[in-house]
Amino acid sequence: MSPLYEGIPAIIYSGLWNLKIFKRLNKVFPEAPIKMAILLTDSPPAFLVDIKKNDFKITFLEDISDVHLLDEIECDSYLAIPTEILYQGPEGIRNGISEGKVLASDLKVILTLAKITGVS
Amino acid sequence: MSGQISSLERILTVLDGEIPDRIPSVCIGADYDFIDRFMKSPYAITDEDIAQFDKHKISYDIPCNHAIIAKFTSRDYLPGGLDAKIDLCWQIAASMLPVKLDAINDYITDNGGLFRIVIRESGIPHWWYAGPALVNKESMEEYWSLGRKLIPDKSAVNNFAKTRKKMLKKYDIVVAQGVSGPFENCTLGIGLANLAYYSKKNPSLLQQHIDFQWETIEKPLLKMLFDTKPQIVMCGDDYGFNFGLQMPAKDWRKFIKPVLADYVKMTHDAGGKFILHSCGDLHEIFPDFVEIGIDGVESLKPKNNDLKMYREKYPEITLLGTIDDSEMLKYENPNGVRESVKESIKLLGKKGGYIPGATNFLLDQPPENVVALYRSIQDYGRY
Repeated sequence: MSPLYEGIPAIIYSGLWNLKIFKRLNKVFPEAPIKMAILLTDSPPAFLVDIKKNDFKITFLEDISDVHLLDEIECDSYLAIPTEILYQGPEGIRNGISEGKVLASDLKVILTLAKITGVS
Repeated sequence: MSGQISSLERILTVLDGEIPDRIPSVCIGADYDFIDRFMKSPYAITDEDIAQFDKHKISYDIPCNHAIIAKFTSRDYLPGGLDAKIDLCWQIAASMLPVKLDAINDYITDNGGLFRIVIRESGIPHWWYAGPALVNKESMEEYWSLGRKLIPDKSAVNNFAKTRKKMLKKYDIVVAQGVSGPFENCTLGIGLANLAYYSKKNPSLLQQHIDFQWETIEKPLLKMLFDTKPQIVMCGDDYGFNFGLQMPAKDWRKFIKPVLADYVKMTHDAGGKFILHSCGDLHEIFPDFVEIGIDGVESLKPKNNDLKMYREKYPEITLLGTIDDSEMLKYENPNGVRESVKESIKLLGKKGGYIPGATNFLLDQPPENVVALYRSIQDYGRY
């Protein structure tokens, strides 16, 4: 039996699962649908987090392994980030952006991640 | 509500060795599998419950899910409550985000352990300990060099205090503040094999590691906690296998007991009560628990512990848990659960010193059995 997701995709799935099972997805994400692409630069390929009104889906984007390809994804926002910086939480991510180690389409992507993982 | 004492008064009365109005109950939390089952059951949390929980900012974090615990409360506090009140629950103080350890090219928690989360084919998450990261002297030394990066997050501790106060005020539920104990911090980091090896071949290295964790993680976290004035601290430190200890009792007394005694002393000095959550067979070191002044011991699976003997021989210590969660609570029907609870109360609870509940985090038990468990503690838990 192989797992559906491991690592960071599993952490994001777990946060969304918690919101969904307690019927709080709509409340936390009233602006859904949201499509957010994440590329862990040390662990490609990218994956797409698709948050709907009462559901969510995470899909690996097998062809997207490079930062330069992120613009090709149909999504509302994207984030290219090393795992180590992602684990530093919102403050670490903001520092990573200002230091050029993290590429984010906008700051909403950080807020969305913080809402999913419950880290603020 | 009127005329009754609060859950906090009830719990403190028991821990003080006195008899309150009724026997209180404990539940330390619920893992993903139980939450999945519960939310698909007739007892599931409703939209109305969620509206109230969100208004009160109740935590949905797993495994100490306070929303599930609060759902069991009486209708005086939650219109959709299950009238199967849980008096005491838990909250584990998460201290930091994972930190990279170059020696193994992986991310560790504050104690040096590796944790993994996977999503199984069922779609249900599973998050648990995956092994030690500090498997040689090189990785231990890199871990020690992390220093300040391992210091607990004060803002998280302050948030926990707010949660604790809200649960008590809005739902009359006591939240014991959770901390990891010295044995778990040590062994989750270096592993049981290294613990056994170092205790024989390099005790000074082992002591150095235990001292580092006390000074860097454990003592600072306890100090932060006591700034928020918790009434009850519950320390998680699983010493037992099903039959016996995970390390020889003499080594436990040499390396672990002195630090555990410091935990207890700090808690008592701050005016709190100290409960130990420890799985497995603990009979060899129960007298030590009395000696260092532990107020209560939680888990106590009845197949692994002579609970009647504990009750008679160590009346100073409150027994918590004791309702077998891996067989009885899983395979019995609600009537069988009620009978089991009735017997346990008859055996252990008539003179006080008893706070029954499931022996560990709820996992794969039928929700109807868990509801039966807590309702029957209310029904039979009279003195």
